[in-house]
Amino acid sequence: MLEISKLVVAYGQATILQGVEFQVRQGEVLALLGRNGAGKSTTLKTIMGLLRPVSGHISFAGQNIDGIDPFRIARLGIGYVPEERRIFNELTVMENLEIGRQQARNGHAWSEEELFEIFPNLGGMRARRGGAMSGGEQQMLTIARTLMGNPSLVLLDEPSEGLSPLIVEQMAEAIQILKRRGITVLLAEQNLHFTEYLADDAVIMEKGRIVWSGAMKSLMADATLQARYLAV
Amino acid sequence: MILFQILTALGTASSLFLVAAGLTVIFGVTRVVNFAHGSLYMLGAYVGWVVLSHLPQTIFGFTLGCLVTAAIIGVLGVLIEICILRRLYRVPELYQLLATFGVVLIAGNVVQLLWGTRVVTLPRAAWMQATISVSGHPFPVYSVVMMVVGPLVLLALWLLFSRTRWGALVRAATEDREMVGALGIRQNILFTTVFGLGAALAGLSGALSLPQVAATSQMALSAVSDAFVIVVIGGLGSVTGAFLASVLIAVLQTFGAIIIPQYVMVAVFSVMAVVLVLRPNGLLGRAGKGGRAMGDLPKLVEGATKLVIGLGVIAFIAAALVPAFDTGYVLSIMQDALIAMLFAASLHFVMGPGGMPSFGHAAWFGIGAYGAALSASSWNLPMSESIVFGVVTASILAALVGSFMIRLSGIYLAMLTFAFAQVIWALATQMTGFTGGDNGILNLWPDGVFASPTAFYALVLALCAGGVLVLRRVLFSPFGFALRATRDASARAAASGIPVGPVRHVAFTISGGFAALSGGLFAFAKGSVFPTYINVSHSIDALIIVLLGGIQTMAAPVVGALVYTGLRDYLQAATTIWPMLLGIAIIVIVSLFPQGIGGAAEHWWARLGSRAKSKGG
Ligand SMILES: Nc1ncnc2c1ncn2[C@@H]1O[C@H](COP(=O)(O)OP(=O)(O)OP(=O)(O)O)[C@@H](O)[C@H]1O
Ligand SMILES: [Mg+2]
Repeated sequence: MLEISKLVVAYGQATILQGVEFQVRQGEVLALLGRNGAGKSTTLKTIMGLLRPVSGHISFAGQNIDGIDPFRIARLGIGYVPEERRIFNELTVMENLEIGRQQARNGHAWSEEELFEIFPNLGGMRARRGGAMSGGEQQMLTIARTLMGNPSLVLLDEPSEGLSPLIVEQMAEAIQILKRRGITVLLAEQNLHFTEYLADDAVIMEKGRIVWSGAMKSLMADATLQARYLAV
Repeated sequence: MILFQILTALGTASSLFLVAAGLTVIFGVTRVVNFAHGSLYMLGAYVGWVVLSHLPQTIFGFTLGCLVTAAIIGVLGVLIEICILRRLYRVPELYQLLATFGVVLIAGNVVQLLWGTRVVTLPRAAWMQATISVSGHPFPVYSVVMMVVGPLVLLALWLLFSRTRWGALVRAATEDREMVGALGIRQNILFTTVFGLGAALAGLSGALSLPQVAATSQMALSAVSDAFVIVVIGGLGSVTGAFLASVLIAVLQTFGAIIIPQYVMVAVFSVMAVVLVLRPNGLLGRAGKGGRAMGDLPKLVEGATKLVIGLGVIAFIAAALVPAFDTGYVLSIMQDALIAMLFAASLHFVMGPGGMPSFGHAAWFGIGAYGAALSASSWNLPMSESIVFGVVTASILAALVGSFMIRLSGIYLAMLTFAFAQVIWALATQMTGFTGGDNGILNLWPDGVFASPTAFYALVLALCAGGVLVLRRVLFSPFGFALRATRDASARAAASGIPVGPVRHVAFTISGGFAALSGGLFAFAKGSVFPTYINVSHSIDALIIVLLGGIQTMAAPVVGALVYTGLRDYLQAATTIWPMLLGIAIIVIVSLFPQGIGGAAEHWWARLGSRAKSKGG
C-alpha cells in the first residue's frame, strides 16, 4: 500500500536519510525500529510531505506522493501522529477533533462517540483545553484527532514515549483496534517490547538506512540482531 | 467634561481596534507582518468617501456605505493575498514585510493619482450631530456609534472564532499551521479568508472614521504605526489583547493631547516600553509565538572572495576619481550613495550578524543629523566636532534605549524600533522651538579644511568606506563571532560563557553610533536637516538596501545601496508614478530573489564555479 524507494532526505547540508527502501502491506502493522537519531521521525515526516526529499520516490495506493502538499497527502488517506503530539493547546478536545474531521472513506466516518469508546478518558473531558491535559491524554487525543480524518494508513511516531505502563497498555489496545478495523499502521518505535505483539513485520533503521527487514517473530527470536541495532 | 473625553477616547479606541484586530489576526495565522494594513485603512477612507457621497445622509445610508466599503476593501485584501503574498509564504519574514511595503508604495501612489494631495473630508450629517443625553450631558450620536462599534466587533469576532469551525481552524493555525495542513486542511483558503477579513475590518475603520478624520495620503503610515504599537502591547495574535491595548492607547492619546500635547508619542512609547519590559509577549500574548526570532534567516557567509575584494578596490578607486571629472551633480549623487551605504551597513551589522531586526533605524540617523545640526547652529561648534557630538549623543541614547530593547527579539523588537523612530520623528516635528519643526535647520556647511566640495567628498568617502570596513572588521573579530553565536543559538551561546545580553547591547550601540555618523555627514552634505530624515520611509530605505543586497552577504549594503539608490533616483527623475514602479519592482525582486540580489549572485557564482570544476574534472 505504501512503497518507499531510494529515499534521500537532508536538513540543509546534513543528509539524514541515505536511500531508504521499504514497503508497508495493506492491513498490516509494520514496526519501524531504530535507536535515537536513526531517522525514523524524518522518514514519517517525509511521507507526510512535511519534508521534501532530495531524491527517491514514495507511492501510496499506486500514486506518487513525493513532493506534494501535506494536506493533499492527508486527503488521500494518510494520517500522521507526530512524536511531539502537537495538540492545539488553545482548543478544546472537541475542537481538536473537529479540526481533524474529513470526509468519509469507504463508506465509514469515525464519530466522536466511537472514538470516546476507544479512549474513554477523552469522553470525560470534552470541553477541556488541549494545553490542560496530561501527556497520556494528549497522546490519545492526537490519535483520535488523526482518526477523524478517516485515514487508511496511520503513521504513528513513538506513541509509547514517556507514558506510564498503564497508558502504554491502552495505546497498545487502541492500535489493536485500528488493525482489526483494517487500518494499516506504520509504527515508529524504539521500544521493541511495545511492538512485539502489535507488529506483523519490522524494519530496522540505522544512520538513515534500512539495515534489516523481516517478520516480527524472527526479530524477536534473534537476540544478536536486537543487541546490534536496538537499545535493549 | 472628563466623561466626554472618556467617550471620545472609547470612540478612538474602536477605530484603532478595528485596524489592529485585522493586523493581529493576519499575523497570527499567516505570520505575515502586513505593513500595508494602514494602506487598507487609508483606501477604506477614500473608497468610503466615494461610496458615502452617493448615499443618503441618514444613519441607514452611513451603515450601508460603511459595510459596502468594508466589502470592497475585503475583496481587495483577498486579491493582494492571492496575487502577492501567496507566493511569499516560504521566504523569510523580513522579505514578506518588504513585499507588503511595496504594496504601501503602490497604494499611496494610486491615491495620489486619483485624489492628488487634497484632504478629503466628509461633512457630518445632521443625525451625527444630534445629541443624546447621558446623565445630563449631551453626546453626539456619532461618538456614541463609534464607541459601541469596537465592543460589537470584538463580540462578533469572539463568536466567529469560538463558535464556528472556521474560527477553530484559525485558532489552530495560529498555534501550529503545519499540523493543520497535515490534518488535511487546505491552508490557502484559510489564509485568503483571514486576509480578506482583516482587510475588511481595516476598510470599515477607514470609512467609519471619515466624519472625524479627513482622508489624507499620510494616514497609511500613522495608522500602521499605531496598529503595530497596539498589537505589540496586546500580544501578537490576540484579538482581546488588541482591544485592551486600543483602549489604553486611545486614553493616552486623548488625555495626553490635553495635558502634554507635544509628548503624546513619547508617552505612548514609554507605556509600550514598560509593558514589554514587564511582559515581553504583550498583555495577552503567549510565549514563543511572535517572540520567535526572524525565522530562517540564512547564515552569514564567511570572508570575502578575492573577486569581491578586487571589485571593492576597483569601486573605491573609481569613487575616489569622481571629483576629477565632475564636482557637481555626479559628486553629490555619489556622496548620497556613500552615506546610504554606511547607513545601511550599520543596519546590516545589527540585523544580519546581530539578528536584531530594526524597522526604525532612521532614528539613529536622525539623532546624528540633528545632534550635529543643533550643536553647530546653537553652539557654533565646527563641523567635525558637531558630527562627533551627534555620534556621541546617539551612542549614549542607543546604550540607554538598548538596555531594554535587546531583551526582545524578532517581530517584537522590529516593531519596538519602529515605534521608537516614530517618537523621535514626532519630537523633531513638534518641538518647533528647538528643532525648527517641519522647516528644519538650515545653513549648515562644511568648514575649515573641508570647505571645498572636493575636500568634503574626500571626507565622506574616507569615513563611509572606512566605517564599512571597521564594521566588517568587528564582525570577524572575536566579538563578531560571539555576536553571531548569540544570534544563531542564544541559549547555547549563554551556556558556553558568552555574555549574551552585553554582547547584543554593545552591538546595538555600535550600530546606532555608525548610523549617527552617516546622519551627521548627511546634514552637512545637504546643508540642512529635516524631520523627513527620520521618516518611516527612510528606515525602510535602509531595510530595502540590506535585504535587496542579501542579508547574509557582507557586501549587501554596498550592492544594495548602489542598486536601490540608482533605481530610485532614476525612476524619480523619469516619472511621477515612481512610487508605484518602485513598489512593483520591490515585489518582483522579492519574489524572484528571496535571498536578495547579493545572495542570488553568490548562488549563481557558486553554481558557475562548481560547473567549471566538474567540467575540468
Ligand atoms: N530540524 C532538524 N535539523 C537538523 N537536523 C535534524 C533535525 N531534525 C532531526 N535532525 C537530525 O536527523 C537525524 C534523525 O532524526 P530523527 O528525528 O529522524 O531520528 P529518530 O529516529 O526519530 O530519533 P528518536 O528516536 O530520538 O526520535 C538526527 O541525527 C537528528 O539530529
Ligand atoms: Mg523520532
